[in-house]
Amino acid sequence: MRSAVINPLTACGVLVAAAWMVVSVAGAALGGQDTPAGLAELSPEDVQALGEARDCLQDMAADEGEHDYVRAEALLALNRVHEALGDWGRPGLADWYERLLLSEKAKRFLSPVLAGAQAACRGGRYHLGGVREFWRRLDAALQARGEPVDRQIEDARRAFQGRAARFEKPPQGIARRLKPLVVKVQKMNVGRHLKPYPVPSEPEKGRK
Amino acid sequence: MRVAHAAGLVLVVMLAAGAARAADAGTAEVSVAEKLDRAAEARGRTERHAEALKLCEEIIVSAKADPKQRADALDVLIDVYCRQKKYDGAVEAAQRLAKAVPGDAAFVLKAFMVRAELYRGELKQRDRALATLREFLQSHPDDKPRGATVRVRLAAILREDRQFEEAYAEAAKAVDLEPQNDQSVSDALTEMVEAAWSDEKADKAQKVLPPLKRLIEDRYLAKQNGWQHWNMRTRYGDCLRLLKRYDEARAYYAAQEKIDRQKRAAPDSRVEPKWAQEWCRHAAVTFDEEGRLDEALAAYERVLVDHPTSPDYWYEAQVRIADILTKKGRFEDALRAARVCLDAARDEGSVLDNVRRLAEIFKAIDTHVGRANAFINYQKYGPAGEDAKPGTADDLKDPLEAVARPAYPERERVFAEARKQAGDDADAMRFRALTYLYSGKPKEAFRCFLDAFARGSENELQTRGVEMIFTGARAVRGHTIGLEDFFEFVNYGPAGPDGKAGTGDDLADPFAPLLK
Repeated sequence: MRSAVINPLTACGVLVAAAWMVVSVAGAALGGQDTPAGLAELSPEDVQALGEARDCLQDMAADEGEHDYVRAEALLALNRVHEALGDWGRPGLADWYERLLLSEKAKRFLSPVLAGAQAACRGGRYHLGGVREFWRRLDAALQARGEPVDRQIEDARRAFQGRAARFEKPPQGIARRLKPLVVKVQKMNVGRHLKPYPVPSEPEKGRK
Repeated sequence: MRVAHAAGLVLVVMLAAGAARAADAGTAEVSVAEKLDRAAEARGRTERHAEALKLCEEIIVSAKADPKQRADALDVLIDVYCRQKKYDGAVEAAQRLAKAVPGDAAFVLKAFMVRAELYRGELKQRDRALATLREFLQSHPDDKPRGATVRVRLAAILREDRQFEEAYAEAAKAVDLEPQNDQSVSDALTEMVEAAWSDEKADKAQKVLPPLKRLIEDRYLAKQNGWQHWNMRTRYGDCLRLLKRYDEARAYYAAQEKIDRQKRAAPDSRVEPKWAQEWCRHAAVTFDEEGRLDEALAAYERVLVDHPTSPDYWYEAQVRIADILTKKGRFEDALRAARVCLDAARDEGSVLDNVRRLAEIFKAIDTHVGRANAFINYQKYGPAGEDAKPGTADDLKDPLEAVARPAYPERERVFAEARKQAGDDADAMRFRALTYLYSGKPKEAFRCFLDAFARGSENELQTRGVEMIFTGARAVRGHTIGLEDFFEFVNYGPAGPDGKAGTGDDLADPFAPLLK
């Protein structure tokens, strides 16, 4: 089965590796409990370990003095921790991602920031309203800056629109293809096949 | 002044030395490797094709060239002719050059094979291709290793020409020509198998089986491409089934299932869990084909219970379980099993299939179509009936409401264990949802589908979203009517298309009532 954690060998420095280890250890211990609804509950120790990893990764990702690749890896790991904790709706998280996205160096790790920002704006809800709102806010912010929009952002927007379009075309419905069962009654014409027995004729006179 | 004069003298001497070296280079013999490099470079430029051809011919007849260099030169030479579309020229050159180096057996074989390929491909003279290969066999009767290669190629061309029996016979002759060469034996066996399998004759399985039995031995199978392995392994079972040797087939499937389980358990294994499951499914099919319905039922159940981490074949197994129960006249059980199929259906086609399946079972139980049609109408119009207005006279009731979902204690036990190991990402949540669906617990499944959608990243969003609605929500509601509202809500959220809360286009949350 799928293990809890993504890529421990990113070699992005001791800090990221250490954070990954925390996530891995917590991840490996997952699944000890199962609620009736089947959601994998984390033990308090797991939650604590993942929470510490999250805080550490968040600091690393936001650290402007850190190497870009370390920040990018930290963001990938951070996104995965949020997936494990299921805490995309954490207060302030969407703002944090959006601030990072609009920061000067964000171009160098746009992909994980955009992914995280959209997931955080979805906020663990089962609709895309928050993500649509995120794109509106981002448009406004970028327009206010008057800078050309980065191609990666345009690509991510198109990808989102493509995904959202899937929900604009619900299945056509099965109604027109369902017909009631009909009992087929064979037209009966038994009489056609029934003929009376021939009546024996009278013996001719004079014959024995 | 003196310094300048001396420097000038040095310069003159240096220039003279350079000129002398250049003159030497002009007369020195160019090595075979250099010629090959030049020829390879020249083949890409039309104006240098003549140079490339000349260099290649020189290399091939050169005593200094090794077999590999000759072979490479022939490749370049044929490539140049083909670029010029002078296929006859290529054939002629290959034939002529083979005669020029009779001592290089590998080159001679290559020249024959190249000619045959040119005849078969570009020149579309398949008879001459076959004749060329046969010519090699006649002229080299004692060269068994190369004879095997030629016969395998001959068999492949014959098979392409749908001369399956001849192809089989040629490949059969090749099998034992070089028995210690696993590659050669494997290639010949593969051709035999392919020739017999392609021949749509009644006894094809009988003919395929002996070579295939050898081919699937590790030493021979390892010599074929990886993607061929699965085909050949499954084909062996198919042959046994075609021959109705069901016990053997089952023993074979059991052995293969064990092998793939062991391979899967190895560290860094690339064997997918569904492989072992597929053997299990094949075994179930053998009972089904034999009409041993009780054993088939147990075997299909094993597809789920013995493979609780691999949902790939669960749906198919569940459908067969429902159909076999129907066939056995256990209609109430069939109804419950088919209800799980309806819950788990992933698209409209599968929903329709299962609605019809359930309607037929209702009809079989009741011996009339009343309840069956009530069910069909419910699926067609939903609880509000044909007028789509709830609370009116034509409102409908779901006949399935009175039917309990099945209890599968063994499934529940193994699925619970599988869920513990499933992990904590969105895919794991989706997996959990499926385990609940196949345990007859759609509400729990729905919650897991919701969680998978909410938890996951953007990549699988649309797939998870559609599954959350079409499978998850539909299974809880029991019908497809009104699912558009779910799609719209997922698309825009409660604020509706304008994104502003409190306006006319706000949307009610259709999920909320299902979560109570």
